[in-house]
Amino acid sequence: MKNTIVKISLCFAVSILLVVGLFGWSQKDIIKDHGFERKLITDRISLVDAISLNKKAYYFAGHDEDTIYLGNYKTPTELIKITLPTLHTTYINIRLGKEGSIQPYKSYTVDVQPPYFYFMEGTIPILKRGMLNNWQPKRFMYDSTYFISAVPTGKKRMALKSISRKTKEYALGLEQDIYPNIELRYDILEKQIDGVFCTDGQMLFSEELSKLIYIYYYRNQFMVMDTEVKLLYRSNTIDTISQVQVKPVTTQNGAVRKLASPQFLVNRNAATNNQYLYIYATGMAKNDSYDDFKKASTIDLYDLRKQGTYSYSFRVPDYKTFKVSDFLVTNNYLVAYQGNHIVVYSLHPDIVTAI
Amino acid sequence: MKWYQKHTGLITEIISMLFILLFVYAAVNKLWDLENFRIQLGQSPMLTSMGDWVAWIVPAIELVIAGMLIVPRLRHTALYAAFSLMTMFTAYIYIILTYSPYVPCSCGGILEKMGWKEHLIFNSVFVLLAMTGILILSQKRTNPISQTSERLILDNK
Repeated sequence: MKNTIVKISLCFAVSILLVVGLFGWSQKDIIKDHGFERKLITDRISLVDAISLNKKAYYFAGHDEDTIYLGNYKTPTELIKITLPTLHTTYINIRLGKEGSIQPYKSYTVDVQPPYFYFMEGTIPILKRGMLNNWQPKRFMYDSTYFISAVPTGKKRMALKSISRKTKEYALGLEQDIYPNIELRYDILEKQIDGVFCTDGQMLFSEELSKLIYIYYYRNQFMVMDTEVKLLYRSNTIDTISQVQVKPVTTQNGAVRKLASPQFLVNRNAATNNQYLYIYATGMAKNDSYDDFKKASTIDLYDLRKQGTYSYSFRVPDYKTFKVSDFLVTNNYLVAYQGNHIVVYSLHPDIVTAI
Repeated sequence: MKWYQKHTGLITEIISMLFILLFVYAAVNKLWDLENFRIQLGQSPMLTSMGDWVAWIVPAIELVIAGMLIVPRLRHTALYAAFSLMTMFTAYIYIILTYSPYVPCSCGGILEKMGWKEHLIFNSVFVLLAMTGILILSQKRTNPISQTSERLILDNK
């Protein structure tokens, strides 16, 4: 009997050690630094206030001077308007009118660009625009092209990320009200593996500079374009991963593409304000302290007035253990969505003006 | 106590059956959609660098243990193996839940529909079941009388 208990304990211990060992071994690869250096500036943001939201799946739809708008992926017609820094909250309902009911399994997004807001869906497709004070979006331009995501770059002009019918791969494009309504640009996204996952990224529009920015998720590069989606320049981020490390797999029926590797994100999320591009990057630098790095989301700044050269970095501390999942930057504040909290940090003046 | 002693054979039988059911179900489910299982394993932060062979090895081990549980002579060893495997699964879930930045699941079939908490409890129950089985069988080995009595019962059937 005693013997049995010893044996059981042994099996138990060995099994657990095996799994723990496996975990330790797998982590070693992940926390390795990427061999670049950051110019880290500390104490440049400070926590002002935070509120918790009662639902999940929020994202930043846009902002006005010190007013931010949150959209929700699950309830696309509901917006939250938050005034900074008091965090006064107003709930807004987008009124779609008779013909505009919400269909299931679609991905509606709202993009606020004062004085307008845009209500979009790429598989129906829908492009609607409304004023921020009456919340009734209407069709306003040519809108027959399917897209993955769209960003308004002018009054009747959209930058699109679409799947090209010709190549079956991602391409950026320009959709506008005048002929030829849609033009895809094949020289911007550079294919490395499959042309879909490997070129995926985030599109941003800088209203101050009238520039469109595309930040690759899986490699160390972003591109800056004009409002007609014509490439101006490419710029490399400080990370060293220039080759996409994801391993996309097409399932046997050929229909679904999935990632067969953890998301080796290089650039998780980005925002822009004034001449700066803020990128929440996931790579650890040679001179990052591991403990500091692990307890914060590190944001790198690039100066779009200097061809996208790197300026410096700062950290947004974890809020109740949560990292940043989306963020935006206004002239005075950095607002982060951390866990289910909207956390407001004030930017110290020199972060905006100096350097 | 008498009831317990009388039915130890039945109890180990039931425990073995439960494990056979669980392992065969889980293995078949994984092999049925191996492509998908491979993808899910690749997404696991712990197993991504292990390569595709893990996708074969895991259901293979489950089937081998299930097979061993059918043979009475191997049942004792098989229960040790089942116990170890379930402990590993449980440890895996615990670590993923606690330390991993994101949580993938690759358990297959209905098991995938369970929440992580239920999953943890479910696994723990099976760990305890295997332990019970081992203890009962060991007891019998050291106590040959009950072993013969069991044989008599079986013969009478």
